[in-house]
Amino acid sequence: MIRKRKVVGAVAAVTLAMVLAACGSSTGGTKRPAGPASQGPTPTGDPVKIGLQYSEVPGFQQFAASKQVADAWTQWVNNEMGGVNGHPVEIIAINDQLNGDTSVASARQLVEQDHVAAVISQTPLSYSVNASYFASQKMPLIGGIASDIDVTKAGSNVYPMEGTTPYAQAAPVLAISQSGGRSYAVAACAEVPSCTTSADIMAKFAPAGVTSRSTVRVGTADASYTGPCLGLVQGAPDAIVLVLGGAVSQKLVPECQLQGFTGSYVVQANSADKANIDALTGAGASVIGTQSNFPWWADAEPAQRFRDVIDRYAPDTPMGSTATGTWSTLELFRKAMKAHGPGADKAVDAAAVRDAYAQIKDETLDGLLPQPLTFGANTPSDVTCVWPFTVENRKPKTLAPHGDSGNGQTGDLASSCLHAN
Amino acid sequence: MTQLLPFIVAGLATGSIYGLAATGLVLTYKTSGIFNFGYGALATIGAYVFYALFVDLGLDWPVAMAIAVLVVGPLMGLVMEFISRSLAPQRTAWKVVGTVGLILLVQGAGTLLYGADTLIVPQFLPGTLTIVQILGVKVRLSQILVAAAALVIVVILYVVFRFTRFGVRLRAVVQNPELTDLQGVNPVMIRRAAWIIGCSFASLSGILLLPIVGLDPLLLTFLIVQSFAAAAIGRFSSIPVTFVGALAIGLAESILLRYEVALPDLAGVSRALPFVILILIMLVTPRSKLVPATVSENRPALQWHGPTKMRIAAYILVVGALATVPLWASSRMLVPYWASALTTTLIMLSLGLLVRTAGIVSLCTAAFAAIGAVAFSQFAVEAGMPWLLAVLLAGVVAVPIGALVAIPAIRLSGLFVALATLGFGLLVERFLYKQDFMFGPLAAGRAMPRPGFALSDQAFYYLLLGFVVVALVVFAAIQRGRLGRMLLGMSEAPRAVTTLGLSPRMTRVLVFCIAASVAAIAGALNGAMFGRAQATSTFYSSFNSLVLIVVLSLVPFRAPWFAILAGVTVIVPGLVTGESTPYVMNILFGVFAIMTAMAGGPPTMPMRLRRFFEARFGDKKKTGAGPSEEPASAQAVVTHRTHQGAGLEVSGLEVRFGGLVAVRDIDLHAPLGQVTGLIGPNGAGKTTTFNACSGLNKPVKGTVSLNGESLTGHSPHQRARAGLGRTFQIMELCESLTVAENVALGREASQAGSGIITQFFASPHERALRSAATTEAMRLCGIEHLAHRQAGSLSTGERRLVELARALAGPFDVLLLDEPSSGLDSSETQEFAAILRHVVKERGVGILLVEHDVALVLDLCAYIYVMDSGQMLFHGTPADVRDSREVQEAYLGEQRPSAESSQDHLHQTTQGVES
Repeated sequence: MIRKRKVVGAVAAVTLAMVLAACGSSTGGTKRPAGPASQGPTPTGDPVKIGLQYSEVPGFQQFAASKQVADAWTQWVNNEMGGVNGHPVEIIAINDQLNGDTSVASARQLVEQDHVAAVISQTPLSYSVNASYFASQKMPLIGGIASDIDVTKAGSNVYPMEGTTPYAQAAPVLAISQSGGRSYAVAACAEVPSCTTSADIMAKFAPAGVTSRSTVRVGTADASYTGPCLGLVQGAPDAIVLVLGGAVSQKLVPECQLQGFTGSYVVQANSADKANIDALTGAGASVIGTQSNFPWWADAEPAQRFRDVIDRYAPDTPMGSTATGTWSTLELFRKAMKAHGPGADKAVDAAAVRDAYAQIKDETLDGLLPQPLTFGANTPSDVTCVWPFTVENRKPKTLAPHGDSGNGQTGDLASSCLHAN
Repeated sequence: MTQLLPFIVAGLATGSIYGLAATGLVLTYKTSGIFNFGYGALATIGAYVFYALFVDLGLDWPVAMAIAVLVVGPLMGLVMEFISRSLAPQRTAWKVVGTVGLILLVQGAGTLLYGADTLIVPQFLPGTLTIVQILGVKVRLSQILVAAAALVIVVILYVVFRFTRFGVRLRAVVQNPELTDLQGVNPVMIRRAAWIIGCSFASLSGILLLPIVGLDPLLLTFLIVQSFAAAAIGRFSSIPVTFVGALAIGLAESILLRYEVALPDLAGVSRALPFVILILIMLVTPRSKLVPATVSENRPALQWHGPTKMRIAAYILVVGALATVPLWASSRMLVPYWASALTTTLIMLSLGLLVRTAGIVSLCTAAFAAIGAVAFSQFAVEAGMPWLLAVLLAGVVAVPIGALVAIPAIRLSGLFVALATLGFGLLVERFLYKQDFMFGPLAAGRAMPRPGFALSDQAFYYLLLGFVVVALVVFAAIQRGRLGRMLLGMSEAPRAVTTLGLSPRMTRVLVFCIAASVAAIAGALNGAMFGRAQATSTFYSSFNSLVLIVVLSLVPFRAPWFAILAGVTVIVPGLVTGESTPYVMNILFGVFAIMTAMAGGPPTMPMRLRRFFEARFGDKKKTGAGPSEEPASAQAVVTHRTHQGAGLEVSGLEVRFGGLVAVRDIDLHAPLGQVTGLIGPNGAGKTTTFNACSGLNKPVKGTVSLNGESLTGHSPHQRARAGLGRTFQIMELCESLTVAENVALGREASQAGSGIITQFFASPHERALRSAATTEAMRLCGIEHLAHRQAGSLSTGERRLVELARALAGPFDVLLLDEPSSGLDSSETQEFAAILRHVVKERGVGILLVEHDVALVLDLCAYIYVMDSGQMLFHGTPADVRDSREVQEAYLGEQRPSAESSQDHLHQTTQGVES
């Protein structure tokens, strides 16, 4: 009898736990959105569905930014801008929790059950595990994290809008050279092979006179960072490139400061978000880096509009490349549909999106894109430009390009481009 | 050299942290007998409590530390003592599972409460802002204080263990709690004190490491895994040596890092070092030094074996149900969840063969899967081979890897195999995964194509199902065949099967090869399902090897059902899609793993259900004997040896255990065709002598020969095949095999021998011979009616007879019988004596009999040797022994009432026999 009670109790506990798990909600912000500034025409008709794959894992807030930005953009477009081609927009966002199984399942759900017209993949996982599936379904992959995309192998359904392989990995050398640095060392994460590969790629793209001194692997579970810092600083580099997650960077940097390093720390991609930059500069470090997507701090009107919308609809959004990349992806989608999409009386489906994107030519979105983008009907082109920046008085500032900017802009929206040696 | 100095200082700083972690590990192992894989989880709990008090609530750090160490630490200790009380007598697999369950529990709970990312904790230790320059390296004073604290703690612990009564009692309780209890020392209180000290120390370690490494649910676990090598250097027992070993590892890592910077080809070597050291130590440390803390383990619960018809019906139902999945499952569930269920089933079959059948705890399954995935990609993509061939070759590539991993398993057992395989898995992950030839240089990993005929999700699912069906058939054949019986024998009665003629080395190599091959194929198929295989994929992570063994432990049923059930659990996250689902599942897995481990395994099928199924589907009454089910009138006739020769001769035997001389100058002769007795008081060295004869321990001096052929230097299985069989004082039966299967082992083990083919397959002649020998032996011992009962369900007397029958089934010239009548009543003893007389007379074998039943010995034996205190006291005929004053004194002791009464006692005993 007692044993039976224990079994029943265990089953009840499991059931309750599962219900609680299913009802678990994502971490959210604390600021209240302000709501629309003005009311636009009400969009009608079938909604335009866009799928968003993102990664929100407790503690990794920078990846959650894409959903917050997507939600804000959706509300802004539906409330104030009359939708997309008169259709309301619906973004179906699925959190893959950095889990391969969930990512694969979510891809199929978006395509086969939700019948989205396009997918934005703002997760480090999705492209690599879902590329062949999306290609087989001819599902447009618009924007999203592109650092894994090798355009020579990508399908014609892929529309990258930020640095592709190998340019994404090589980007830090631009920040180094444009800030006056002549040498660098690389602190590469020990867990992922591509971190060390980044060091090799940087060497191939480093401008003349910029040399690599050393590459040291740094692990998340290292008992001490003294040894790695000694290895990094012994060549007296002008900069240490952090090919590391934010948390490891914040442990490594103080140790390297202690060992006498006085140069700059270079952040990039997802570790170039505002929270990490603030943490590093707060520890007294000099920070430079690159943004794969437009700098959130730019004064130019398109960037200001972005900040206004976020302030009104999702004020807790962590600022960084993920946030701005999601915005520019959605804005390009809106512009493409407006210019080349089907009318308000026709549904927007994957085929319509492919047709519209095939007509995009030399588009910069007024500086929100790193370079003029042209999407033909064939395989995509490389995106070779980024926004190098420095931090002065704890405020980021875009570094001026050597020569012409990649996207024809000036000021903080001016991008710089990489060239292989 | 001056360039190295800063790295030396840095290495010592790292080493002191390893030392802190490793010391705690050894402390809990010494005091509980359990190697706590979850030690890092305990440290993490202490760290989280401190964080909550210091950061969230704003308490002063000394107060927060005092609460975490002196309140929470002891509370954890009490909980752990409660858990360990049940864990300590369980088999190694359950101890591993129970402690790994802690890791999952803390990982799930920590992530739910504080997130997955590392929390950077503000510096709080005194001296954080004070910088000291040592040999060109700037070190915070707080780091020096941590190292100093670690050193002080090591010294204190060493003194406690070595010089205090409390320390002696701590060690005694682990070795023999019952004896300690008899000495008036309460083992429960001692254990509690030990766990309280251990957990408080873990809590303190976690807090001291916080400012250095930060806080996240798994960080300390991974850090402490790197300390396993230091614990191994200290042989899991010496705290000072462990600490010095940790310093040495930290130093070596740091120096290697210096050279890695200059020589990029060495990249990753420093990180792999702790695991290389761990494996090397497991390989080179003398086995006598790697003694498990607790020697006795609970017998595994008997798993019910359902009727054949029922099992066939279940196969059809289950496979049929799986075949319908694509018809009703949604697209998001089919791939990856249902498809992953099938690849997980494959990998569970592989792991189950090692853990459940062979009793080997392997913690590197994910590494085999990774190797398979990489090999497949290289064959299919780079070499352009046909898809199916590429998959099969991926399995073949893993075979030598499996053989390599089997090397430590050949010489080690239990915990130490688990550690060696864990070390291998981590070495592969930390070093090989990073190499370009493995997963490629880019984050996208390797391309893993599907075959042209199964590109769609549905078609690929059916392809996976096909692989699973084939695997089920193959594994069923292995389980039911010779290799399966040998593996079970090796798991449940390792000494017995070795002394029956089985070469365990070959068996272990084979099982690892099979397991590695199937895991590799599972890894390849899993990658093909996703289209890519990446170094960061969960399926190939070393942590997944731990998760797999936990899941394996939780699922009930025998092979292959546990694998299918374990596979199906993979679909749960697809059904319950809350964001907290993975963490809640980890918590539940962790809790259930601990509970299951404490119980010694999942519950067996309830009796009511068994009777129901047996009534409905029961097999017809079997008349055959032996696993081949051949009728008793087997065609083969059991031809016993010609039995010519001198029998067993032992000369000048001396056996030592450390400084203790167990037996010295032992000469005896057990000729063929008679029963020779070997008697003596408890502790005389009789069993030690037997073990030396059968090769289970190595004598320092002396020779052992059989029929004139020297056995010195021969392994136990070689001695068995030369004609020397035995039984054991503490019976060694395969509990889950039937009586007939146990008896058949007596013949089959030597047939299997050390050949690769013979370990798998029996020729028709061998099968017939085995069956006939089994039938004859069971008939001789009067246990035919027990043929189909599981050995674990028998009474002590019945088990003795089964063990005797097993010895009689074998092709032995001389049998060493160690207290074979123990547990038999008087009539059974009489029958037993009659059996021995018959066997000696009909077969001409020689028997060397150890017995405490003096009357039986005097009645049965033609010649008797008497040992006392490790030496031969007397030998002669039964009459000589009866009259010997020396023998009387040895049995009755010096303070006997009178010489006459002791002689009267012996006479009365013998008169009872004669009448």
